[in-house]
Amino acid sequence: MKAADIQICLIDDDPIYTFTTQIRFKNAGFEKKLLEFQNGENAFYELLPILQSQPSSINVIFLDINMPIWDGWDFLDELQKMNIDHLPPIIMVSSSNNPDDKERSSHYPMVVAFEEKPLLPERALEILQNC
Amino acid sequence: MKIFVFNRIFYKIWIPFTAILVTTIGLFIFYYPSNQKAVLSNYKENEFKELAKTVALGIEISLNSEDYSGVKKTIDFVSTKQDFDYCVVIVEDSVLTSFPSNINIQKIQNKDTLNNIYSTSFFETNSLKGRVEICASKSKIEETINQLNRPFFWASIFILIIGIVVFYLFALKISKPINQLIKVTDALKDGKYDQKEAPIFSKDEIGQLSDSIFELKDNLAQEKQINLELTEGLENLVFQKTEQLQIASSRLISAQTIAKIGYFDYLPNQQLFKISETASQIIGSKVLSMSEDECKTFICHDFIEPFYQMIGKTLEEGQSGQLDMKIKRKTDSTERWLSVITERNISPTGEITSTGTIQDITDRKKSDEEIKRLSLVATHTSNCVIITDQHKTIRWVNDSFSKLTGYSREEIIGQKPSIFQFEKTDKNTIAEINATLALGRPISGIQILNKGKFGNEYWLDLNIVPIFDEDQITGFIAVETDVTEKRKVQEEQQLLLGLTQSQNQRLQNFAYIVSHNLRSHSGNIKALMDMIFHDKPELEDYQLAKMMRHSSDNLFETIDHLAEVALLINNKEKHLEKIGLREVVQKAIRSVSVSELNHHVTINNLIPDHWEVLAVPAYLDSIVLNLLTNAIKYRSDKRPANITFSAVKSKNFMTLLVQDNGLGIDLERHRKKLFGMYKTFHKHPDSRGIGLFMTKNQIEAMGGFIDVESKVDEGSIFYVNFKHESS
Repeated sequence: MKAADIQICLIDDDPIYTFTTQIRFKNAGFEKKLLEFQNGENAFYELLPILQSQPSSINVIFLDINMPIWDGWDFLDELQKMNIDHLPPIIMVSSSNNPDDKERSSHYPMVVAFEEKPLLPERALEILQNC
Repeated sequence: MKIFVFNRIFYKIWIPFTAILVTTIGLFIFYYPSNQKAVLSNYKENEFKELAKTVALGIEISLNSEDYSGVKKTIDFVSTKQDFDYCVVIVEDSVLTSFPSNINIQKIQNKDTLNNIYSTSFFETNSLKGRVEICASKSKIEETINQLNRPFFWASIFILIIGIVVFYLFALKISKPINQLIKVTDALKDGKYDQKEAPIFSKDEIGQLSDSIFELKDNLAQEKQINLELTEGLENLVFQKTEQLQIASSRLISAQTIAKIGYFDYLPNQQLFKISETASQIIGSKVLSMSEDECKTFICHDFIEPFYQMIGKTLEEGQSGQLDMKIKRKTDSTERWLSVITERNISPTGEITSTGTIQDITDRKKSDEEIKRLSLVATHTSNCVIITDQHKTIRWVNDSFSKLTGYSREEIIGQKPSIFQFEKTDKNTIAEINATLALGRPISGIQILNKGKFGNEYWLDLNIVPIFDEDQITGFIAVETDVTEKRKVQEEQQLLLGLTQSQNQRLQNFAYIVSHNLRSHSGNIKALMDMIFHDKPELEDYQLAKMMRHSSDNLFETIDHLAEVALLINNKEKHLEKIGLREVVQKAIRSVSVSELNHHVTINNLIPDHWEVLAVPAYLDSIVLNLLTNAIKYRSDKRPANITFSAVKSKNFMTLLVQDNGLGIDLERHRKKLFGMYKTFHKHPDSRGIGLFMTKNQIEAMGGFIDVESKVDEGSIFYVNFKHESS
């Protein structure tokens, strides 16, 4: 999969991180504009119809943990309840290196990696190529 | 009722009377008819003679007056007399007439005088001369007489029978009360006072006598009953007492046997000892009596005099004596200790003897000695020491015990340890102790709350060891440490620990939050800074901007480290894996060699193949790499750097030695700070002071430890101790 074709969805409440990530990935050759959501709830209700109808239109979801309203875990729990086939891989991205969080994330089958911020484009590509 | 027992009173009365009556009447009946017969025969003969005369006269008259019918009438008159055979009127030797009429002359002429009576009367008329003859048979006369006598016989027999019956009744009436009396007296004689007899109600003298006797009998019966009851009671009492005595005696004997207490009597007159069987067994003898001299043969020499002195004193002064003495048993020649107790005993006859008991106390003596020896050791220890027998009865305590509990040795000996327990003592602990000791196992490290004499509560750390003698538990030694203060401190520590832990937890959470938030922001600043420099390369020439970027980089790195440290502290329970130490070192050497080899550094890996340690892979990598880079970083400029990795194995740890010939560390000054955070001891451009802190924490997180030897300007050796599989 080429970087240019990858549609990334970024769920994070930190606008600066969202901004830097956008630029960082754009500079690294990710041409498609990032889908951005500021919290888990927003993301869930916006993404749900897309994931149910055309799951392949999103290639990866970067999910932050600490967010207002619904945090990353709420999002994962709700998503798991929906039993959707062919979910895109989810990479959890957090500035926390708490091992408990890492352990918890491993219980969700759609989570393919747990990464510390900042997630660099090269690392993201590496993860996607391995899954 | 036996009728024909003639020695009975009844017959004694009846038979004589009856015999007299029968004899009298018999004689009367016998004699009376024969007299009567003679009288009656004479009378009959006379009657016949008169009859003959009368007939002759009548015929004479009739013939004289020629009245022949008168003859006929006379004969007819005769015929009214039936008791003769015939009556005949003979005239001139011929029969004129006769009655009965068929009498012939032959019959008259052949007279049978033996059986018949004949009576003849003559008559003489004018013309005729004749005679009248009457004949009667004697049997006929007898018959007549008998007929006359018959009523008389019957009357006699009747009188006889009446007499017998009357006498019978009379005898019966007299004999019955006599018989009763006899029976009663017989019964009295035999002692059967309670036999029932029909009373006699007639108020004659016999009756009165009988009544008196009956009364006597009743009284006697009552007396007998009372006597019986008394006797029975007495018998029961005797029986009970005997039984009690027997029980007591058998108990005494069995008690003596069980307690192995022997018994002896000393008879001073005969100078003789009489000893019980148990005593005989104790002293190893087979006899039950022995002389004084015999006695001296088995009592050990030193005790002969005291023994006889004691007996003498007992006999003379009545004082009871007690002596522990040693003997040599006759049977097996072993030496035994005996406890002898004597008492004076005065028999009912006034004889004074000495009675005593002996008991084999060898075992007690032995254990006493043992306790004495043990107590020598235990006296001066500050721990409480208690020695008990196998039943946990306290036999000895040391002074520390008395000091702690308040009980003196004298008052606590003989008590059981349960005296120290009270409602706050844990019942489960006591049960556990008892169960363990019952199995003969020692107890150590159990703590129990006890109470002293004055109510003081104290915690003890118990160590109890059973004492064995040939597989038999003979007692226990308890060594107890007063841990009351220690427990108090422990409890305080526990409290503090809890406090610290919760504080620690809060700090941990704080560290997470801080590191998370700070990292987000510092990450953002760093990213933005990078982008700014990417967009405006000309800023590289602007000093302030460059300084700004450097600061943001440093901030990010520092926060990164902080986050790492926070993570490390949290990770107490890491999963340890077996890792080959040599390969890890080799990998570290490879990763640094490219950049460092041009500095004339020689690195040796002397670790043998297949030596494995238990470690977290990432930590082990980080530790080895950190030590290696440190050794390279702090090399001496004065000589070519030489770094050697080696390992030694001990029982618990595998030690990695990292030896260099670098700058060295002034341990006297820096040892305490060496593994602290943000401590550097060299003015080296790269030193950030986090490495050894991380290393130390990582090693300790894996259950190991790190140590260092170093001399300034000579070099350092780091010893890293890892757990390995056999530890």
